[in-house]
Amino acid sequence: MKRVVRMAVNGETVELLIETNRLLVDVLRDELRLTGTKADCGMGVCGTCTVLVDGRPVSSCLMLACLADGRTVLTIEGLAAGGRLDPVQAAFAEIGAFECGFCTTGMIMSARALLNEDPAPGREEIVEFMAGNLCRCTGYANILRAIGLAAERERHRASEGTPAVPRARGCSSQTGSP
Amino acid sequence: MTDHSAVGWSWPRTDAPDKVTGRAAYTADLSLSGMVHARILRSPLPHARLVRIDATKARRVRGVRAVLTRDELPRDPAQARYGAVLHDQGVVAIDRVRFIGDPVAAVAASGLDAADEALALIDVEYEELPAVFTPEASLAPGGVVLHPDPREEEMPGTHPVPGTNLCGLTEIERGDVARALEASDDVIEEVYRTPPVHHCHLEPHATIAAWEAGRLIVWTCSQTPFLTRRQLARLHGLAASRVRVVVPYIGGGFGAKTNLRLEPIVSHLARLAGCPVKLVLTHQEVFHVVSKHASEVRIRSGVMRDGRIVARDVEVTLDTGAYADTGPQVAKKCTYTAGPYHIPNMRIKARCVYTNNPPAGSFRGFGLQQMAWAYEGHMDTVAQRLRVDPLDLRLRHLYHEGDRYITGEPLHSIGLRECLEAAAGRIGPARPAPRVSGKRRGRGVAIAMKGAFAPTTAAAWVKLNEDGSATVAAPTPEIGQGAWTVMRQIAAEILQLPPDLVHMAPLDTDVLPFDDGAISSRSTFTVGRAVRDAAVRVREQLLQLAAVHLEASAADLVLRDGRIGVRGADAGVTIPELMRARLGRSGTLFGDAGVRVAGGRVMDDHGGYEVSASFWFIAAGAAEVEVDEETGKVRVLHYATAVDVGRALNPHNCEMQVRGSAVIGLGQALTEHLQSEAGQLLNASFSDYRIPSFRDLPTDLDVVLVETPHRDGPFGAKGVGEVAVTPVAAAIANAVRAAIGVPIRSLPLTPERVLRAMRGQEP
Repeated sequence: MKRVVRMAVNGETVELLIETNRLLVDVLRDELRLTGTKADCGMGVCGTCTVLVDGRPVSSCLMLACLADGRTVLTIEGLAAGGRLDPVQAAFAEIGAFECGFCTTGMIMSARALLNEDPAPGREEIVEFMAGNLCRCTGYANILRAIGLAAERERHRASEGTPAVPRARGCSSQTGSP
Repeated sequence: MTDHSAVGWSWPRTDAPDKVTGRAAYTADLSLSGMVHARILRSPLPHARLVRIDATKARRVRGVRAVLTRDELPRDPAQARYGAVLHDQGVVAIDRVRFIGDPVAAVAASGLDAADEALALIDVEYEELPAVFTPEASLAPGGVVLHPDPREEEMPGTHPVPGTNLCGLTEIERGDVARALEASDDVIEEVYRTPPVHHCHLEPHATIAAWEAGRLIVWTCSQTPFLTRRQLARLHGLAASRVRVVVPYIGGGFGAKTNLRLEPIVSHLARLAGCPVKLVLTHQEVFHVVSKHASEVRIRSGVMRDGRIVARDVEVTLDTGAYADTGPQVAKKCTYTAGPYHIPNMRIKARCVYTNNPPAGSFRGFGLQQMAWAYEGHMDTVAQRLRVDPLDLRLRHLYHEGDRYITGEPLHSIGLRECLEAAAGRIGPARPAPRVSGKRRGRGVAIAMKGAFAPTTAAAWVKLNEDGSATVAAPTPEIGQGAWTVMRQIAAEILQLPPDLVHMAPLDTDVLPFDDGAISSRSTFTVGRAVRDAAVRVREQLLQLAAVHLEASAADLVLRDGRIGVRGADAGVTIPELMRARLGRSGTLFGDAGVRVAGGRVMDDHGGYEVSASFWFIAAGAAEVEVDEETGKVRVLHYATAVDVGRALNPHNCEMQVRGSAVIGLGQALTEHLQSEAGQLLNASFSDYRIPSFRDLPTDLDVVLVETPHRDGPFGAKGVGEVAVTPVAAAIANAVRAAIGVPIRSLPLTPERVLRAMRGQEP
């Protein structure tokens, strides 16, 4: 059985006629070709499929696409505004808080949600919030650092009114530009 | 290291922009026009004859484009079977199924729903056979033989024993172990065991295959694109160059994505369907593809009262599951893993055994983890028996530079003492637990040494473009280890170019030279050398052009930051200006180089020796743990690891690799166990198979990079990826042993196991 689903994805209204048993992760990846959101465990445990629905982090592998009707969905592709990386993305790139990168987009979306909710999380808060995003490559430490760095820069920006994405240190080219 | 150095800096990663924006394409993200989707039908039984298979009804399902059963495979068994060492695995089951999950058939259809519907309509009749689930049962005389027919060897030298379930048997000896044990003051014997565990890479296996004008093209997550190409070509009766393997980004491998995985099934489906076919495994299926060998290691040491270990006898048995995969190679590697201790009489025997469990194969460390678990636990037992400090016992016996290994080969670049002292030094003396808490604390160390395999070859080319940028063609997949970044750094160091002017050529077997793959931590050492040599060739040509252009002798030229100047004069020219002036508007300079690292027998004045490794790299681990007396739960307070990388070309990448590898080790020490009952996997998903999350990190995890430069490595570098995982479990178990006074010789160190040990029960 098909239904019309109308949602705002990364700021653009999207209207699709889809089977009611389709998952949000599959509709994003297949119909909308937004492949930055990944799929792995299919049971909401690994976090690679994390997107923000109405600002809240969601395992899109556990959400029926039809339930996104009337909602706003933010994926990794929607994070960089006007060609400028989100501070969380920039911090991950600068610190090199990734290896194979498969968990990275989900990590960034969860971190984005965390910082939207709590601009000054301590290490324990970050660990608890992010515990639903698994990584097998990095050992997590640099991801924690990147989230801390992004938080610090955003607080600085908020207090000073300046952009939170600096030139990367120690090299002659800027890694942050998409 | 100067301002003009590329090497030794933590260059930003090549793949950073792609990965943080979601632009990085992995195989499952790709889509081809007219592509259809595949699913696999898997055996529900651990061992059965495939009596009859009928896909008639399945073919009639709307949307089905192809069904693959044994009937669609070539008659010639050589073209229906494959395997990394022995050709024992059918593309789909041919005469039998040998594990629960063994592929029996596959369907390609317009959508996954149609494919699933068709799978359910494939009619299969099985005749159950007796099944074996342990090496002991498998080797019992008169039992069932899993592979009675002769199997062709893909890789010789592992000595399968025909007519038995022994698919690999290798042995090595130096000195006279029997005599030395006899003459010892004391003999200490133990048995150590490890369970099967899983790689748990987050990207499930995925492959797309398409045929175009008689050529096969696959997009696949292979760590070994050229081995995949060669093996796939043989399977289809094609010359290697008629197969093209393209490797997008890989979402972690750790050894699970080598040789052939989905490519045989998908390429046959694509042939039958006449259109591209894509297969992405489900999460649960991934656990059934390949895992790490469960092991049993019997270890016996002969010691003297003065504290010397004079003899060691080791027997390793690996459970390789239903198909050999790289099992016999892993077993052979165990044979050559004699440990970092200079013991004059040593014998190691390794057996690789078939069972009806899912297959086991390469896993980061390639047998060293299992061996180090036994060796390093055993060292603490020996230390206790000899009444010496475990650290002192190790320091006393570690090899020195130039010492001869069990193979007779002289050891070069082995920072053993530096690593052990660095790791142990970070932990310091054991802190006593607070009195009230019902906790016990302990400290433990372990050290492991790995040889990257030899012989091996690699080749690379470097192209200097007309705009003064360089393109590096290094045939190493980016599996997350940062190989692409370090290859660029090596080229940049030689050509004095900044990061944004050095690019990587995409990984395509049509264009790049042959390489053994991103395995055995060999890429920096082998492929990196080829990149360096190729860049040197380009540099030579560049300086020759500049000498003419600047009317100077080559000896007076200085290449720095993309500009060539004359020593002591103002004259100079940038690389793009030089190329335009000397080569016209479309000039390109090209350099290529091949590297061959020799292996095998070498003759010398003492009769000769065998080169078994291209280089050695080392990881030491030291742990401080706290054990809860009531629950048995082990908390790692502090873990420190020191790894000898030769030279850290990119310190950040090295640190990441070591840390990530160590955290995998933590998981396998404390929680990871791929459980099964009668061949049925019980915890094939992340919800039941626990890998470390953010919550499971030790309070402190220190990484120390030790540099003992290698004479042949590029700028002294060796390798780094695998070794940090190998001593973790032993270091933690030794710490637990110090805390509770009881050794534990099986993994993982679950609270139940630790509690049983504390209560004097069988852990």
